[in-house]
Amino acid sequence: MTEAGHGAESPIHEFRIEPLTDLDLLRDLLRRRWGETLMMFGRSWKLGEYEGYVARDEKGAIVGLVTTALQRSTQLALTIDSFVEHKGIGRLLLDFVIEQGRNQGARSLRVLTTNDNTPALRYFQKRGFRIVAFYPGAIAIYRPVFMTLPEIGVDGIPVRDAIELEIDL
Amino acid sequence: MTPASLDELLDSWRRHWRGERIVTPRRRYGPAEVQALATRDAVGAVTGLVTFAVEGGLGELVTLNPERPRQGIGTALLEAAEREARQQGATRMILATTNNNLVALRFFQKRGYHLAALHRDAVAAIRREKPSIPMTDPDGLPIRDLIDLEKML
Repeated sequence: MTEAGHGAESPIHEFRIEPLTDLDLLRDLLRRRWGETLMMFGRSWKLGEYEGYVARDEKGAIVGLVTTALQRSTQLALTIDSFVEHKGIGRLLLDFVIEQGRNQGARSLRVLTTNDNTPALRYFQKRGFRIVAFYPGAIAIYRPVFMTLPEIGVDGIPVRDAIELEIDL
Repeated sequence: MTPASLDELLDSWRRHWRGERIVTPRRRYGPAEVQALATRDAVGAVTGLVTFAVEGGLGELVTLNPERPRQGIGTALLEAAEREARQQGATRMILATTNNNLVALRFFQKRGYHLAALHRDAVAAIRREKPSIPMTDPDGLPIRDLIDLEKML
């Protein structure tokens, strides 16, 4: 599940990305953002089955988080979250996970968004992703798990469906 | 809201849809296969036009083109087409848009439509018939897939 990315308006060299091996911290960050550490993408992914990477600013504060897993030859971005807006952190994390997928020999990267999120559909398609699948009604299944998924999303549109987008690596 | 003439329909289709045929995942529509309604200004000039068809219990919204943005014309045309289709026995309305058309995805989802199906690469076949359909839109997004949205009436 990813938020819409916004254009990188500031230089991004002040941030660095590093693996988050502290599972307690990863659990805290995910719970705060999503209410849960069990991630749904094709199947469910438990804490420990996916990798977390954080973006830190020059003072070491965590400003973003990406969780990712390799499923056969497809890299999955399970979550992409920037905790500070309009700094290009989302883009930095996306670039990182693309690179990570290539390094692991993945042939493609997939992200997930929801039907209401037309800014994300635009953003990812502009970045070269294409829509590969709809899961109508899937969010109703996710909602008991993801306590933070709202009923009404962007532009007042009901959040119902999952949409997968993919880019070749 | 009044019926549109054939000339008015053709004018709208030519300007907005590059021709006199509309292809959806369900069928090819010519002017004779659709019903057309128009909104008009004080002197009767068309300010927006909608075309739709009803077959069995299924309505298909074929085109929806307000000529002036942000005046509620699109909404009025959509509601009129839904009302007509319902009176003609439709219990469901379906429409197709393209993957790049985020304005349409937002507009229809705000008005009760749900994502129903993704037809990957379906624009390629339509482009063979209408070669003037560009590969990318002015925003730089590829025009590639058809997306069905539907609503129970």
